[in-house]
Amino acid sequence: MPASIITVHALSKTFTLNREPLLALSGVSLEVYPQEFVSIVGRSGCGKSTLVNIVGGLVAPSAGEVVVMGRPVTEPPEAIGMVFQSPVLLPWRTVLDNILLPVEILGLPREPALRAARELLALAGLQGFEGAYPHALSGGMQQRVAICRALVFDPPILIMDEPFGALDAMTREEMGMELLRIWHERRKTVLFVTHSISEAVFLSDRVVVMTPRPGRICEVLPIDLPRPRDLRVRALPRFGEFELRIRQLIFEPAHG
Amino acid sequence: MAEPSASGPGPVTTTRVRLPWEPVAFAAVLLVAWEVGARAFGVPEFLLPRPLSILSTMQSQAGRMVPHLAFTLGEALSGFAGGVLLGILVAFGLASSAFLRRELLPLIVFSQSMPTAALAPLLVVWLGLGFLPKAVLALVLVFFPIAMNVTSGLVQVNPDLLRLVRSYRATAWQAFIKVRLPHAVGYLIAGMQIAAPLALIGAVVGEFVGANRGIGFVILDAAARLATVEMLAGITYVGLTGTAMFLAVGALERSLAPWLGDRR
Repeated sequence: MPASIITVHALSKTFTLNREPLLALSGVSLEVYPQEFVSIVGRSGCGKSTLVNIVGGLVAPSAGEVVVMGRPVTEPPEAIGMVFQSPVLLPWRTVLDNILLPVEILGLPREPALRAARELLALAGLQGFEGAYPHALSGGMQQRVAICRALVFDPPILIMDEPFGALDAMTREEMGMELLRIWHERRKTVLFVTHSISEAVFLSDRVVVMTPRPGRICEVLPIDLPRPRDLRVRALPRFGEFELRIRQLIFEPAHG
Repeated sequence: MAEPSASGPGPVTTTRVRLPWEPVAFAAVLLVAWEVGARAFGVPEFLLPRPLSILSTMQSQAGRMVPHLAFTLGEALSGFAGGVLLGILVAFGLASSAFLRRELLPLIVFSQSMPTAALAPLLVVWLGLGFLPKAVLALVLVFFPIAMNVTSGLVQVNPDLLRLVRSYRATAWQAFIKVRLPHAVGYLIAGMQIAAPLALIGAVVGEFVGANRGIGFVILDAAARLATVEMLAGITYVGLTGTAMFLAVGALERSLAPWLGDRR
């Protein structure tokens, strides 16, 4: 067994809502291994976004610990690139300058980053758009820019919090396939939050199923479908079985 | 976030200069109606001069009026520049601390609720009859929309943008430089568009109270002689100048904030 790249140990998080304590996460433990694609699915309010925000160092846990590449997380680790549900591009920056934003803030050398950004633009099919402003791009293209931005400083880990949630169903499938292609080429570790069960099965090595109130992990399913995956994977009977299993865990917890 | 636009892949946006022929044509139609109507109903010239008389007065009096107008424009532009600078400085203060917002905002609103026309004689008492009190009056009028707009621009930033830069461990200073400041540029320009004609009004009102130069002085002098056509000629010069200032700010926007370009 290789050493894990992300270790989540006995994590709990309590929010205060209207002066009432709200247990968002309770005793969550999880290990993610290098170059693994792990998805987290669950109903709204099951704490999956909270979990990845804690791993990304954006939210402090109430109890427990996150270790990323051997170091306890107390602030956003440099090893992680984050992609959020909305692309959050800076409207006054061109596509290229948006991608270079993390490089500027982290104070990394510009020349290699510029080369990396151009390669990523090509990888994401955005050649020719580097000088465009975000408002001229479609939603799917904006999210591609956000993915390039998360990858430009070459972090080994990518955390994606419902990155395709705002896209239409077809763009969403297309983006999923593109993400797999990028993941194959760049060999990143991906922690991926989604509401879409079929998206989770299609993309992942393992799917973490969470249940709400309080948010905990109810099962971790290894998805041993063959790779590389393409459109036909979705037609395999095993694909449907995985989907059914996850649906049962979410909608019929008693049968789980 | 911005609406994803469905428009095709136009990689580089170009700014094209468009002649405002529609408003010009519209104004021409109004002026023709005025001219024809005034002639048809026999409205006396001294009550309501016809557009053609105003135009010919503007032409014949240009040698006298334009230097006065230039002097007024100088007052207005000085006040405008000072007001923009002061407004930006105050906005930085207001944006940086909720305490300052609480303490200063009522005072600023109070200062703006005082009638400018009543403030003008006071400034003449303090600063004399020359250039300075007019520029200060323009500054007072300009400062408010700039301070309010820039404060909004610095404060009302999408929290997602701030969370994004925080994920790269940005310092508060970096968040200010990379996110808040550029976000405020569009607000600043919108404020400047409101403020540009106000600066001119400030200067002219200042001249009304006490001056021996400037287009306000010319208009007041014409009023004393009941020379309505001269008054309207002066007023038209002021209006055209204010419009030119407004358009100049628009041109500034295209070079300073090209990302706002094709949104309207």
